[in-house]
Amino acid sequence: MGQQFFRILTVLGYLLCCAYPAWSAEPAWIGLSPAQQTILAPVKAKWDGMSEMQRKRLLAIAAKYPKLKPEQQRRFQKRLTTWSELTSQQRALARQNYRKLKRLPPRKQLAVKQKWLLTHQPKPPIVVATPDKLQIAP
Amino acid sequence: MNEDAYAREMIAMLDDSLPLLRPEITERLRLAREQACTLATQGMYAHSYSSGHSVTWTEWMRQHRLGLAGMLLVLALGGGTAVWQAGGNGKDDNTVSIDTELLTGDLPVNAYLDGHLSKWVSNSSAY
Repeated sequence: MGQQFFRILTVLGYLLCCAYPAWSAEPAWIGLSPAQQTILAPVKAKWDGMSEMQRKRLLAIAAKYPKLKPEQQRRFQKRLTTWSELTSQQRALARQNYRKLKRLPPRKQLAVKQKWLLTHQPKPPIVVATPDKLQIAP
Repeated sequence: MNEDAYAREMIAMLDDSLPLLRPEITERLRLAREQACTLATQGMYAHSYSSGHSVTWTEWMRQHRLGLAGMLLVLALGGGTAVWQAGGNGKDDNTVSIDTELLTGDLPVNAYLDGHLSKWVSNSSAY
């Protein structure tokens, strides 16, 4: 009786251990809630091909989404596709550079950000005013 | 005469002579039988109780060694998985925070892949 009880418990334990990865796996696109599908809509086509880790992280970010400011939500929607197209090495590099930037004092962080934006943001076209019309400079 | 036949003959003789006994003797026999049955029942429980305690801890361990080994293995696997998960979750929480910042922050994602930004951060003392 006692030995049989132990055997049953052991077998159940093994089964639980073996089933754990499948049990904890992140769901396919169909398995997401409507709210999650709306937030993650830009990556719908790629979702099922993503790694489990990537899906897990995106779901964690999606959970924070309602608390983000509207501007942050807009950026998230805009950048999500680009982010999902990066390789894991590129994402790791971006995180590494982000950590480096965050280690700087706030004033220096701001200076670096401003410099990057000034250098890389597309400049607004220069409008040249002539006597009869406005003309965009080449 | 074999033993079974002898026993049957004895039972038949006792049954035949039962009406010949006086009522007080019959009553004494009934009481004696009840006492014997009670004592026999108590003795049976006492035996099982004492035999249950007579099994030592080491004997019990020896009897269930396979089950115990299996249980220990499952506990070790479960514990290891839990520790691994806890460690992984802590690290992953940090990564999720960074990813959130990258996806919602002031700079676009490609800024952090740009060599200029990395260089400026490294040479930040120049600012």
